[in-house]
Amino acid sequence: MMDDAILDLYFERSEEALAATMEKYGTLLRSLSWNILGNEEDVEECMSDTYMAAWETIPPERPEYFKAYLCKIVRNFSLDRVRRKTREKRGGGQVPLILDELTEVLPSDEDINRFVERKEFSEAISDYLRSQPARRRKIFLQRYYYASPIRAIAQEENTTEGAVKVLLHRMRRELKQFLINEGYGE
Amino acid sequence: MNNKDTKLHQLFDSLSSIDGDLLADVSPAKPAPPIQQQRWTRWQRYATVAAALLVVVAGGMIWHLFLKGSINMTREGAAPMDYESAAERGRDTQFGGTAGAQTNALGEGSQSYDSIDQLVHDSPFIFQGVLLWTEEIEDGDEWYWEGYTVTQSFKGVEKNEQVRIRGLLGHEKKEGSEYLVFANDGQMSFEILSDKSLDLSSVSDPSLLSWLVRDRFDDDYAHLIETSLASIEDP
Repeated sequence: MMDDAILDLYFERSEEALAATMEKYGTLLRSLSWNILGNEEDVEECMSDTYMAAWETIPPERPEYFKAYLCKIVRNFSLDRVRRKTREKRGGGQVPLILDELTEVLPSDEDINRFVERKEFSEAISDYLRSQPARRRKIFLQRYYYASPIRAIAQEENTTEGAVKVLLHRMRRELKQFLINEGYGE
Repeated sequence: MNNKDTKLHQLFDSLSSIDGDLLADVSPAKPAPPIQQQRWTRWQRYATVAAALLVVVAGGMIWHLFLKGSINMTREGAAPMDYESAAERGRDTQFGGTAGAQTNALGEGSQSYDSIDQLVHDSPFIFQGVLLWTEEIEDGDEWYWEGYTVTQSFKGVEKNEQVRIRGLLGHEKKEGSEYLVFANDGQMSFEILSDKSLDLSSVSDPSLLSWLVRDRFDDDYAHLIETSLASIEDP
């Protein structure tokens, strides 16, 4: 079913909207949540919260990109849950590894307050990704948006884990330089 | 959570708000995690444990009845073979051979390690050495050469041998400093500090030891490396 048709069901307050959402995006959302949480029980709860949030916010919202809208909800729920459950450690699933990798992108502490302007920062990251070839953009998003394991990315790209790590390392360096040019960091 | 961790989480969070069109043709890497397979019922768990016990008991009986005394299978007989084949992979398959005393190994992490013992066991070349020089590899993409003089050999090389391995650009090491190097398909090097302690921060890819709690490396893990190295037979 096309996204527009599913959204129409939400606007009609038809419960088929949820069934259609689950059928079309359930696997993707579950996979994203699993990559972050690594725990089935938590994933189930995040999935329920996500469908509930979609039901409660559409309408009045009518997202232009329904897939991204749902991914954003489930990603935020999953990250919130990771932090809530493991305040003293640094999360579950792929999150600790990804945070280690992203250290390279982080600007110096003096400039860190600009990170609070998250929307503007997200736009800067979007601009960087838009400038990248499709394959690079895909690998970056699979790792840092969907939190996919490097092994899975390498398998899908039919390459080695080392090659994926090298590419991601290069992209992190480029992103940091891009952000510096945009006024973030030293 | 300290300030840096908070900001890292914010950075990770901020990716949630990237433009939606960028995600249109991108999905999580397949294969999707086999969530259903994680849902074992209690009887499946018990059955698996029982089957494993049965195999162990049956194997033990067969060993005891038929094989004990007839096969001399010692660790000394098996281990060097493994190391030799690993070394051959490092020297010939990956690089098409080496000249003279030089030893080559691939650069960064193509595998991760479940324990310190596994790291020691799976590394065909282990040595302590002084980094003498570094050099960019022509058409080497993200790699560069590191040249060491071996000051202490644990496995696969000789003392005073000149060794060349690959490192990842962006994680360049300090010439003149001493490192404890584990070289396999991947390379892992710990800088040896002036007080002889090992520095985890010099490891360019800590995800190879993903289980390791970094803040506790000095107290809980460093001595395990020493212990495991001491257990190597015929260094």
